[in-house]
Amino acid sequence: MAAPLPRWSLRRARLLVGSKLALVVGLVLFVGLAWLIEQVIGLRGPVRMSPVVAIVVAGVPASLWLAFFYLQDRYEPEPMHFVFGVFLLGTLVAAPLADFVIYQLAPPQPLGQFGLGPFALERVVHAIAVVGLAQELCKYVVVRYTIYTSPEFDEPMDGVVYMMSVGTGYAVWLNYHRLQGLGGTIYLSTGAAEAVITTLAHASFAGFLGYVLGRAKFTRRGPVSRGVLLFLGLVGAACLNGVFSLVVDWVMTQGLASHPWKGVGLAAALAVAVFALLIIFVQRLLHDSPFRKEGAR
Amino acid sequence: MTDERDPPPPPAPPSAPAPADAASSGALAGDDASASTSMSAIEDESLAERAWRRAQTIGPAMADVTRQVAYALGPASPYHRHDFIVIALALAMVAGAGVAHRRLIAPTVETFQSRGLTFTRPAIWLAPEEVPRVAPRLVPAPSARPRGDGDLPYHVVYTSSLDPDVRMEVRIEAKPPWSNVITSLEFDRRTRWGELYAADRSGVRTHGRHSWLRTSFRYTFAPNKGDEPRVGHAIELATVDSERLYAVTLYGPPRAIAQVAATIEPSLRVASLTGKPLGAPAERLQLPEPVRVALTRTVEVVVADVVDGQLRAVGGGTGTVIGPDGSVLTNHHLLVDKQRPHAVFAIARARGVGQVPALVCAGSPSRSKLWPEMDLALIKCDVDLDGRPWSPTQAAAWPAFDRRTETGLDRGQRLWVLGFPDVTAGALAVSGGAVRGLAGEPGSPSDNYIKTDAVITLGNSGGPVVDDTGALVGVASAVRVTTTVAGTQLQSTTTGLVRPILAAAPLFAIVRAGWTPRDGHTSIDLEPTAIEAEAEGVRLSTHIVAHANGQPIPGALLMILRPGVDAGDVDINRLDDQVISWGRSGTDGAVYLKQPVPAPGTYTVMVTADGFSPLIGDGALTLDAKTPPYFDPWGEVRLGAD
Repeated sequence: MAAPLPRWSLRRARLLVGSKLALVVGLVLFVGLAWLIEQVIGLRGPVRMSPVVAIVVAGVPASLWLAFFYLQDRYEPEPMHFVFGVFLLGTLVAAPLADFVIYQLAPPQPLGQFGLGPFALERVVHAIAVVGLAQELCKYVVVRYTIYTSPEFDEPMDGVVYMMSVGTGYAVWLNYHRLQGLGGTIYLSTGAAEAVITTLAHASFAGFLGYVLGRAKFTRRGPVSRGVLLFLGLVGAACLNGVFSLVVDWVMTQGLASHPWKGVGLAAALAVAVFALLIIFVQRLLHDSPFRKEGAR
Repeated sequence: MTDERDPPPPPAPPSAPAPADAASSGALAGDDASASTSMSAIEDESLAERAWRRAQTIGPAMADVTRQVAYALGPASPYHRHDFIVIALALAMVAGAGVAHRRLIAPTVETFQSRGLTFTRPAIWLAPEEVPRVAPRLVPAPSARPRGDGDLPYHVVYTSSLDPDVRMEVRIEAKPPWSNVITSLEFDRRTRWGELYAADRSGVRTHGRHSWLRTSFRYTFAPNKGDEPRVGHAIELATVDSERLYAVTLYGPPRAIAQVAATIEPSLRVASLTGKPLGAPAERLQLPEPVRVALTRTVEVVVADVVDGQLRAVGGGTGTVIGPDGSVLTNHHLLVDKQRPHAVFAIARARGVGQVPALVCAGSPSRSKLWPEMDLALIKCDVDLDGRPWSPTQAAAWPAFDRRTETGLDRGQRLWVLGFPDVTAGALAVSGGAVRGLAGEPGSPSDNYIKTDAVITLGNSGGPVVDDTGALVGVASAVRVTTTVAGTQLQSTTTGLVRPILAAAPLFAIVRAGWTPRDGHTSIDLEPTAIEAEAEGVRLSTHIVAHANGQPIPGALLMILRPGVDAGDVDINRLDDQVISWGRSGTDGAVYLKQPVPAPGTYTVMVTADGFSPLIGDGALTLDAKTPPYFDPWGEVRLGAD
């Protein structure tokens, strides 16, 4: 039996980088496989997905992304079962709760947004202040009243890890309902690609809020500053969420035509940009981590 | 930032709940002796004292639970208490944004105002278009005529500029001659949308002190020719005033039309009011069980004509089911208007008292048995509501009244009138009363009526009148209003007139023998008049007598059916085709068949007589080459009492 690796070593860091690369390649392969199936079988139009297939298409990218985010926390990895538990809470608690809140406070109006411009005030209010804020608030509440009070939440980086987990879980619910929506018919390849991108996007919005949450928990400033910081974090995540939806909807349906791949492309660009910003924050947190040892990279 | 690296000390656990009650705590935690003392003290206390002692522990216990919940939900350390404010503020923002969003996307509205109808509607509709006439399904399509120059009917459709599936139709036309609006509108929808129409909910709402009938229904449609049919949803808002019928119908996805209806409904106004009820009253009658059973044998009869290119219900009454084949007895005056039969009749069945009936099938008065002298008619559906051939016996069981054989009715005997009077907005209703005597003159059977004080009104015509045993006594047919002068006051008395069921005996005979509606066969006469005489054959004769006493039966009809026609095939309306020879008995019971019967051959014989059970014998007559040219095969035929 090989000797266990020291917890913080150059070799472990390389392994981590290699694992993350493999996961990203896995995500690309997932989309490529969906495209290949479409080409081989000759699917020229939308397909009707059974619930099981929809769960697989929504769940595979979520699992890969979850592993990827988990590996970000390289100095003091969180217990796997906690991370997975929060992921399930995102799917089964935060998302239904958010849907309930949105439906109660702003029930869907069938003709409500027809004929409006892509960035009309009505759309902006709905995307940011109703849907975005409600979704991010529910993700926040789930983490705040579960793992947040646990001794395992012992450094600011944990805020990012757990919030990304809940965001990933949330995306499973969203993707499942999207794949089952539209009369159950959707293009297989764009559906798979959207599942990958939506998962990254929601995890990134939540990760941004997690960064604020981690900072807020461990700051020594007063309660007012802490409250303001948290509120700004919520509003910031809601803005990212809402702007993402608005822009993707705008690109995807311009005029009377629908351009799913354009939407996927822009969504990917936006999500990667938010994620890149988040990675910068994460690097700062890792640098300041109380568990970081000298010489570790 | 360096000060943020060290995690703060973990939060202190919540303090243990304080002992709720020192005495009770001591009793539980003390030694055995004190415990036993306390236990005996507790045993001595009364129930009220024990309850009071326990109630005192509730307060501290609740305080402890509150502490625990506050710890679970609240801040883990003092400087996290602002989390609640953040969450509350965010929730308030979502709620506020939801309200603002709803207001922002609320459609702008305009006012519709035309021909006495006013309401507020969303301003998202395209210019109105005239709705083309829908060809009636139950009668041949009339030639397309342009709409009259008159103001009515006004029938236009608005299409949503946002979603072409969302449409609003406005129909304003002269008030229908029949005041049963519920069934009239149901008939309109059913004949327009055909078999794939289903009413979901119907109810009456008041808007602007005026009753409106709100009906949700589904139908199928193909957006374009050749498209796969889709299920459409609609909400119809309709009312009548003293002059017109108004109907606003919304078509589209359920959520969309519910939203539009929420805008339109509260603003609906009409120029004048009417006192007619639109909804069926809830009736709670204590009926004898046999009368309740009789309700299942009562149907509504709706008559319709082509009015301005559309098939419209123009009247209605009640029918009495007297045959399991769907034969319905009703009044002649219901089916004929100024000696001209209405275009179609439709039959509707209700489940019980207070229920609005559902349309089932249709037929034509010109294919019915009409007896104007007695104001009676026998009808039977032969098409469904789409005009396709239809048999009542295929669709459902038709529980039928038996013919009443007993003739005695006592003055003061209780009667029940069943029917669909207009005053109940088309719902099945029952009114009770008593026999008040007989009307009419001897020798004038058409004036013979049973008089009753049970309420008979418009819509009751043709309905059954039964006694407490549920036996059919007669058919509600008319009312007589008597005005008397008492001093300086005029008094009017309304008497219901019921046609005795014995008067309908020939129609019962037709039902027993079997019949099929055929154009031109409206006579109740059973004689097969158009039989072509055979050149060669045997001339038959016999006597027809009563089985009970051997007395001759005058007026009995003896018919020899063509070879191959047996008892199951007999149809009164096809006697011309089915009967090969026939004759009617004289006062001495002797009957001589008019046409010779070919020999050799085996024939089915049918004998009918009023008041006697019909006799049908398969293969009852066999003739061969040796049969003499004048022959009495049976000597006499005996008929049993009905």
